[in-house]
Amino acid sequence: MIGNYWKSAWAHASSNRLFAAINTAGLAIGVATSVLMFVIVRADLTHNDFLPNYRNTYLAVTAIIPSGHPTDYKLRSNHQVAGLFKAHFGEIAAITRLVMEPISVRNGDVLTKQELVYWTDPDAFQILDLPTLHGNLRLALLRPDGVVLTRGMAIKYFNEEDVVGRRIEIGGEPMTVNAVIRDLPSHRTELETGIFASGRASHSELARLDATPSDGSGFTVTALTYFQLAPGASVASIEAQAPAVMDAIWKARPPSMKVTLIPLRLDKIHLFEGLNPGVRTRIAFSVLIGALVLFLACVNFVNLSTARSTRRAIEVGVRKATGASRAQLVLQFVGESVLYVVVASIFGLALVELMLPQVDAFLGGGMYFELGRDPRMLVTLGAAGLALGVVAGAYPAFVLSGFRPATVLRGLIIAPESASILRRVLVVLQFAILIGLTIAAAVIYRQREFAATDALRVNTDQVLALEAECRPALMNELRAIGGVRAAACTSSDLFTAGSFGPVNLEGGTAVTASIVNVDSASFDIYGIRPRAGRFFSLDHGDAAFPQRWVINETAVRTFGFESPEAALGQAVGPFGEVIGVVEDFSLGSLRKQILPTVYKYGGGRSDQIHLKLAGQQIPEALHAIDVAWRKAGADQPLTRFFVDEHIRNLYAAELKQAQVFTLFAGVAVLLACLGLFGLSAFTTERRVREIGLRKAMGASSGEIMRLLLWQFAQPVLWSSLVAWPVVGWLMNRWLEGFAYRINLEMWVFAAATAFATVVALLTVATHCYLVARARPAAALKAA
Amino acid sequence: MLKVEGISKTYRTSEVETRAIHDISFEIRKGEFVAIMGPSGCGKSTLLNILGLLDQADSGNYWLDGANLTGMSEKELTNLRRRSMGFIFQNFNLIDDLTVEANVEVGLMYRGVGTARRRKLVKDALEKVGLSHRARHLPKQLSGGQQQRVAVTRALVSEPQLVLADEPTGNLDTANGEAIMGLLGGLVEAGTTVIMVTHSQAHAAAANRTFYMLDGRLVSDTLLAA
Repeated sequence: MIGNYWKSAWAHASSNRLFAAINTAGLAIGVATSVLMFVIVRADLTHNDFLPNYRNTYLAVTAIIPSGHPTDYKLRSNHQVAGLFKAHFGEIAAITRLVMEPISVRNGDVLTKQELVYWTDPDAFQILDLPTLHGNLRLALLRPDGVVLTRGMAIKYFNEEDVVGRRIEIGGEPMTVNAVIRDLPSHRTELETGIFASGRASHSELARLDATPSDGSGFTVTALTYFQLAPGASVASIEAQAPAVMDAIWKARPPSMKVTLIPLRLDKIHLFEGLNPGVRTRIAFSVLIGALVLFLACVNFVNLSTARSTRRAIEVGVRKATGASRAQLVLQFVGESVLYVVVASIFGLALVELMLPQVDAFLGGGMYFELGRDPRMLVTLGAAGLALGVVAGAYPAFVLSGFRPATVLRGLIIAPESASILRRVLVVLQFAILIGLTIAAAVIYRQREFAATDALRVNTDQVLALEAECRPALMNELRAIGGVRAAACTSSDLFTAGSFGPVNLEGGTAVTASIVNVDSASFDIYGIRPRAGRFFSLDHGDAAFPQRWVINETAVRTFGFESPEAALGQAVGPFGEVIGVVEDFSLGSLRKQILPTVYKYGGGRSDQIHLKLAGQQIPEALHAIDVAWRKAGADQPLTRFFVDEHIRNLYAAELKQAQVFTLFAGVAVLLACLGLFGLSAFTTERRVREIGLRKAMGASSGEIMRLLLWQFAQPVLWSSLVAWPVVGWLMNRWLEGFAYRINLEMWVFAAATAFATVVALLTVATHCYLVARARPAAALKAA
Repeated sequence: MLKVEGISKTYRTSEVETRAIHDISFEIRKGEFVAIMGPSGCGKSTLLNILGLLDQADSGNYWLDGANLTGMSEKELTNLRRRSMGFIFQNFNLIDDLTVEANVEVGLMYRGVGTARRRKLVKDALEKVGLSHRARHLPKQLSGGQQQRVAVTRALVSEPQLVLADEPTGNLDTANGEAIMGLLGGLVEAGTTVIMVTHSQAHAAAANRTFYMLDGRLVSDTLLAA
């Protein structure tokens, strides 16, 4: 019996190859897309779960809370936190630190000038129990010369995996490899590098930090501080007492600023909005579009299956007349449709296998797809496939088989109106999804472009930033280079807004402002002009007057001045005097509000040099800059980057999201086209007689064509009514995540609808043309 | 073999009520060849569908082999149809996607006949009607006459007690029509009861009994001498 069903299914598929191909291909694409989305989302949700004890391991994240401003979160904490935690909290079973430093690493001829190395407390691997390939991990860093490498690093420097006992130079000092661990899954951990060196080494950054006494006037965040709780201990009490720990470190904390530590469980770090803004929205969007694409594929499948099934009414009648029971017919039709699902799923899973390496590389790694490793996924896929098969096969199985054979054989049951309405609703939904995804992709692209260009309000073209202290000798060398138009000493706070200070206002209130050190050329390099007053200049001798401040427009408002002009010459805080006002601008992420900012001349932290390069001969200029760097006596390689690239990288997540959206909108277009193509073939085929009659009554081919095209265009126009409000609301929510954002413009919506309409019409045009052109006699005879 | 008493059937739509057959009673013995005649729309096909359990009467009683079928469940009727009946339709009603042999095999499959025996029966039956060379063809590759021969083969391969034929020659030319009538005649000779709806006087003459229907009523029942 089953063999006969199989034969029947195969025969049906072979004589309806187009529909079989459309059904299988559409569903396979849907399955592949949704499984890929699942794999991507799973990588986001399973950070650090490769560490055996991740549920009991926490990272101390620093939260800086300036009064009246959003909290700023740092992945790292101060290097003293570990010692204080251990001393004060009995709940902590173990605690360890990793301090990253870019440093030279060499083995023989293999030399990397700026390899990232973690200087690590000796007990680190008792907490981070990474999978070991060679050596004894727990004892590896006990000696001051101990090093642990990942497999990738071992191969990079030694060209082989088992390098335990071999020597490697780190920062010019020989050290010994004591263990080799597996490569870290790059997208699933906050650890950025594969070299862990003993923090006990005298030349290590960790040792240097520990040896430097702190006067409590400020604090730095330098260490990844991991800890584990004692059995039964709660993290809440630690969190409650964390501000006191930070007060012990930053003794001179101004009242307007609070600092605390937030223990984040390892698997929650990636999902923490404070560190990874927008991550939850991104995950939700990923789930949503995965589900939508699968829905599209299922809609197509159900639509085409039910549309075709009406053609099988005769078969149902004959089978019933020859003795088939209803249960047998249900089994046959549901089985047939489940078979389609199974075949499509096999193709879909093969597509996943093919595409996963590319997707993994594109989105940052950490993704895997092994059904054997994931029985839950296998069961989910099986159950979903069965459900889909039942739904798609339901019409012939449960409806047609329920009619009396005489009724079916007389041709009285062709297509119930409800099925036709359902099909139209599903087509409208399908195009609504297509239009929605197109609008979403366009909005994300435009916001990203806006964030990286217009919203900055500064000209970042040809501006190069050097990670270098501002020494006069170096500055003179740099200014002398032909390709350098201007050079400025600036603190990296220009990008990060990471330094804060209290500003006392009249009446005794204190507010917190971002403090950025600049010099006389800093604003000029970015083409920024004063909004009021003047900027710093050598002619005015500003270098000798650190109390002269330039403030931004937000600071003007926050400090209570009526206008930029009114702020000029005013005394602010204990020492400040406003000499100029600059328009609000940001070189950081626009997800954050621009803070009230005080720009001071030089002094303090000037850890970057910004250079405006001439438009031509960039490579020559870069080479000359490197030469000048060495000439100035630097022993470390120079880190430099173009500011516009740096800013674009801030929006890498948005860019990837936009690209993923575009990809999925493309898949949606393909699926919608496949579905519409199949339906148009079916509909026009069924209307051959009607079209023949219309032509016999005098209709021209053009009129028939217009009639058919208009009927297919209608659902697309209806779908806009569904898509526009929903996607408008969703994209508004998404844009709210940006402090500075584009407006949703109607033309984007209209363009998406126009695009969908054109796609729909092009898809159905061939069928409509062929049917409209047919001779009426042939059409009537064929019917 | 079968007996109906006072059966009626009315088709209703939201606007129209059409009485298809009204108060029909008769009895047919085993091995009889009955032709049902009458103008279009007189209820011939409806009566045939009710006799073949493809449709149900609104009222009246129907006995088959002494068993009253009134009130039987769908499942029981299916079993009865599967066990005892074969159908031949005017428009052949072959399953487009299945080959000739698979079409013939359908009824046997539902009777639970094993694969090997099924194959043999199908092969023999197709040979009998001269279509064994077309076994692997699809219905659309055959002429109308050949398609109807396949339909007849499908009806007789499971050796039913009762064959119901709804204008089996209606779509065929004279030669093909004669061939189909020859096959039906053979069935009757073998003891099968055949009930045939036809418009053709000549084909009705091959039967040994003729019902004439008008406006849903049985107006004459003529028994021809053997």
